[in-house]
Amino acid sequence: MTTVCSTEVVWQKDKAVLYRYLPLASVKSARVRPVLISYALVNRPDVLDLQPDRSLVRRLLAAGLDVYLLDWGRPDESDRELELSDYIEGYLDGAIRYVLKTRRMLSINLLGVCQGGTLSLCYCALHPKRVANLVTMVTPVDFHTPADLLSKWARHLDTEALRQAGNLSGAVLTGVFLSLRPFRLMVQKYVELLDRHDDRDALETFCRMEKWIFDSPDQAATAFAQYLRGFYQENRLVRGALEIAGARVDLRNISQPVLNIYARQDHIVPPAASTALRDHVGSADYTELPVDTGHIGMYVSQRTQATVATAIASWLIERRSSSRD
Amino acid sequence: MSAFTAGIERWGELLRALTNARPGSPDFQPTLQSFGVELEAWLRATHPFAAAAAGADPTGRMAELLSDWGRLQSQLAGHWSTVARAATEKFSAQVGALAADGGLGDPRKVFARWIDCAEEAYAETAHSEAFARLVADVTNTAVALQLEGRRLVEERSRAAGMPTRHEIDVLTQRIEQLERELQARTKTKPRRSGKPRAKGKRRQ
Repeated sequence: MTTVCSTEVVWQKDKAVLYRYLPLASVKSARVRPVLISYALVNRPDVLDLQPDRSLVRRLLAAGLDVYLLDWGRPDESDRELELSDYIEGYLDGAIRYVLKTRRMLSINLLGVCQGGTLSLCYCALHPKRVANLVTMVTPVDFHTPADLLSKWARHLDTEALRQAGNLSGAVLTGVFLSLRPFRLMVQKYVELLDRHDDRDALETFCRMEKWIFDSPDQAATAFAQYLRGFYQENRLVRGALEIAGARVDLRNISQPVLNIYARQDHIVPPAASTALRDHVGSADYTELPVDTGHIGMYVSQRTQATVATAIASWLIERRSSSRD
Repeated sequence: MSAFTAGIERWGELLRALTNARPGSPDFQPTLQSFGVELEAWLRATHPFAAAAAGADPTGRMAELLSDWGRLQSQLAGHWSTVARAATEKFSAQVGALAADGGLGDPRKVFARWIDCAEEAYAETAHSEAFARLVADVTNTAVALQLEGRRLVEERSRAAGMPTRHEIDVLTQRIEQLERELQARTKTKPRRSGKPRAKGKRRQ
């Protein structure tokens, strides 16, 4: 993983690596439980720490938070049989248990981003005692909302054939995301670059974003097919029909405080797909934070990062004396 | 890449032509229509869903799948025509307003408005049930082609006594299952009671 902030590898299983971000010098600790970030499988988590002035992680560190990030790795064909349960009960659970054991705690703060948020919701519902506070960002919960174009396109796919065909190429997945708004994302974006041809900083930022966009990892065949079928096609999470490793995922088991951050102009995870969470969690302390930005802007817009990082830090600090331990 | 850059160059020429033309002049409407033509050509050449399948053995099932592929690509092309037509109509309807407030002389404004119209037209098609089913059919056929190609290769590999993809998949599944069982046992392993052993007795 490429990072701007300094990290150390603290745990590893197969290709999954847990990084701990080193605290920033002269920043006073906020004295809250560590935050473990669970990012999506479909993109690299580097975008959360893209460059010094566009790093959500750096802003969280600057607020005195103790941050871990789980990098799922880059699947190859030897990983094609990995299931969603391996990601949730194997890697995510393993990483969380490691932090709990080494920090001598019974629960941590969990921050799930996009699909990583969906996986975090599943984990939280299955192991509510291990999560003190849950933050979800641009996280799809209801996959059958009217504006969800990805869901419409996925509805009639043959997931068993896809699984048999092997890992899904990251390049193919990138093509699908670009197809959601082909003219803005494949034409206008480059034409507008001409206006910034003499701005070196803007050009470098653009190139870093481009590198990230076109650096999508391949998707493990079985886990991807399960995700397509269980979430996009059958919408099992909100129907209460999802099982992970034989255990039913009931969102009502999520009784800890939840902060649900979503983007008002999100064309990948429409707002309604995220806000559906409010009708399904069992938490009495549920907060929504809408942000005027798009899906990617949530991670990299300087204006948004300042708002979002501050909101996350404040929200967690307010709840630092949660009674999970 | 060459289709992409050629498309951009052509659109640049059209923008110059449109900003120099006057509404009502003989070449204004044809120039507007050219936007739609170029859009359709760009979609055919560049849209990720329009990528061609890899070559394969055109026999039996493979021939049937290739025929399906061709038919589906024709249907997809029909949708690109619809998008281009709708985008041009929307743009034509709005270009008058652009001209009225002097925006026609600003290529950036014209281009931005054109992109808005194109995206709006595209969204109308992309969200339709017919397009969603077609996307699924295109994808399912591409995957079926891939699997059929692999089946042909596996037949030959098996005949040559070489391990096949299927055999490796089965082995991998067994390993994954063993790992899961081991992990489940490790998680539920009872803790040692910590009771001190009686003196003189050794652990076996």
